[in-house]
Amino acid sequence: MEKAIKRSKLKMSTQDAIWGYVFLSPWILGMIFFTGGPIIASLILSFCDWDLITPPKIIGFGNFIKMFSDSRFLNSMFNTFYYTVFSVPIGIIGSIMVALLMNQKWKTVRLLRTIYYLPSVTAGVASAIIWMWLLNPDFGLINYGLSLLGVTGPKWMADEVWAKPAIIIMSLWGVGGNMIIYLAGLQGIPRQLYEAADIDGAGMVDKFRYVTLPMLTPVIFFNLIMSVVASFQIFTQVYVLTGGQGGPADSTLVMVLYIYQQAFKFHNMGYASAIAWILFIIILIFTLLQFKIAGGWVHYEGELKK
Amino acid sequence: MRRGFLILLAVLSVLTIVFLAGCKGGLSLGGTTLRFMYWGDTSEITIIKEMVTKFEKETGVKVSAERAPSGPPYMEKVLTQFAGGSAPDVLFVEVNNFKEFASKGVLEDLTPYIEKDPNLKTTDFYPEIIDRFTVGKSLYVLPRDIAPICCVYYNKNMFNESGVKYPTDNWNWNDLLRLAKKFVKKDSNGIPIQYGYVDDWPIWEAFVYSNGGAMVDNVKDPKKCVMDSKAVIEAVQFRSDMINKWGVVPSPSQMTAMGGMGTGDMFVSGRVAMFFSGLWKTPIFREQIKGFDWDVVMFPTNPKGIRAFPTGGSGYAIVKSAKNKAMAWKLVTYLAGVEGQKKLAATGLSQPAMKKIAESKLFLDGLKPLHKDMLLRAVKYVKFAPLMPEWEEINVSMIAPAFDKIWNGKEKAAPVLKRVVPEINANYFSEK
Repeated sequence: MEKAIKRSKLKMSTQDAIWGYVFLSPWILGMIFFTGGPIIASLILSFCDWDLITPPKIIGFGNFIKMFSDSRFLNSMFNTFYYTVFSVPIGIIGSIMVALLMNQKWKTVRLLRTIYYLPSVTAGVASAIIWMWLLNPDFGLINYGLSLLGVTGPKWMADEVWAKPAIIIMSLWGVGGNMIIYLAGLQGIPRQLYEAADIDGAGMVDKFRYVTLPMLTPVIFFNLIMSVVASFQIFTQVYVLTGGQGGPADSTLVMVLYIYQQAFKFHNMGYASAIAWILFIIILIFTLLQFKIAGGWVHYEGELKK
Repeated sequence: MRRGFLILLAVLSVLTIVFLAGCKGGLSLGGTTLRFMYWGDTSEITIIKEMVTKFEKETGVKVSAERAPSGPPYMEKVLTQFAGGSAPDVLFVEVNNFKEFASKGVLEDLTPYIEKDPNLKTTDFYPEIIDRFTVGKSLYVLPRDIAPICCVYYNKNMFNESGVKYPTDNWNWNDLLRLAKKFVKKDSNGIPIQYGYVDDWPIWEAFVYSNGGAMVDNVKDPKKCVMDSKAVIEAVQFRSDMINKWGVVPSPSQMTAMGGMGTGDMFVSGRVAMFFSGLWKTPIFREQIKGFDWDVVMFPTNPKGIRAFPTGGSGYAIVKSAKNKAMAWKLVTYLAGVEGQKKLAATGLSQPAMKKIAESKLFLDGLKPLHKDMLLRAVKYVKFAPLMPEWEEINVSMIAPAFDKIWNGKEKAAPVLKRVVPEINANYFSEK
């Protein structure tokens, strides 16, 4: 053992770094060959007009200028923001509430955790089809539940006003995935903090407000960023529920679906690439913005970030 | 142990790089292999495989036939191959996706080949489909079949039980509506459980054409969208009224209430008396319909007696980049030639593009639907979609969202078309 250490001329930290890269190498190679190339290609293509059949023609900023007057693009941006603004907060509050419930010491809690987590490992297409049934205006469970409360349910995916809310409700299906992360966060909160709060005479609400929530903020921050990124990229559910159209009347046409339509239905690969880059920039801005704001509310080990 | 692992990793990464480099160079399959792309259901696959095997045996040339699901997935695959510089040699094309290739200069002009071929004449084929695949004076696709979208399948048992006479080819829209009304049934909550008429997808074009309307001023060289005409507005409103005023056709939301059941399934399960599509539904209906007798009738005329409908149809093309064009042509004639068409006719799936074969006993085989000989008379009424690559985009991005509001009964046809047609013209026809 001692010999082995002597023989190596590299420092321990350098050795560790090398091993780190070795373990990362499958991902890095994949990234460079399978993702890196297309990323660069799409950047170049975003300045081109390309129908996939004839060679691309460089058109400068034409694609980017076109976006401002493309009402369907602006509409897809509106729909994506609409979805994000509602689905992200609802999703975060929902998954924290479920995590709090699943953090209780019930006998069946392990089984319940599994049940809540199951939807997250269900294939997107399969769950979209299940939701097609749940949202069925005449025979669906959701409208049946509403009818028990004396409410006549809307036509959901068949109605351009209710289609977006329907997709948002559907997104709650995924709370189980974030719940697991919150659960881990909850169990990482030191017990002595609660004991101290007990001694100070804090009630349930105070303990949640002054201990649980602040200690959970790093996890909330992580989930917030991941949820915003994911919700800007919503595609599968809408594609399956509307047959790739984004209907009715374009009410569920989101940005990634529009990129898909432009690229593979209308064969405007250059324009599709340009929109993809704009989407990337939007997501980047929102993520940076969140890091900026985070200093004000995210606590690490009881201290504010930075 | 550690070192061994490192060596293994190094070998693996080298292998990966070599493999990737190999991919980049394109896995060349040798000069004598023809690459051929097609779509099709199981009965078509069988025919195509038979013809390909025969071709390989007789010529000694290997064919690599690749299949993709029909519609957008097929186009995605073909276009990706074009984009990657590895386009197939022979391509299956239909009358609608032909517009994607027609103006791009990627297909070989087949006119000289057909002139030299002693076994084929363009006059053997229906002139309508030859004309569709001809741009200028060049024929780009050798037609295999034509598929007028004019088949109104009807459930004979439902007609018998209601004591209603079967429709005949000389019926009109008003007869369609009158008959459809007789078959609507509702449950105790007022939810319809049976309808009079449905179409395979919203085939509004059939109403537009049969009312003397058109999408554009000139199908072969469109300069203007003319869908704000009185004829189009009237036709679209008629289809909307069938849904929203008379309730004989399910609305889009009522369709979702069918729980993912397609309109074809509705016909099979006896929930609708009449179903409008093309002949291609026949093999499925023959297999699935057990409990009742059925037949087809030609799509009705408008009340003034105008007859017209959209059409499908397909054939084979040679891609310009093909290295061995003579062999590629030979393969095309195997697939779309007399023998290929005869085999196709026998499946009942589609109507051969060669008149003689369509008129023969091979196609008119006495099997259901018995009245399919009306298709021979229907060909002269077919209309094709505007021949411009952007038409798909116009349809998906402008027409379909606007029409959603009409089918949902939120708006009338007139204001929607008056609003959307100028937009279409401004966005897609202003430079021309």
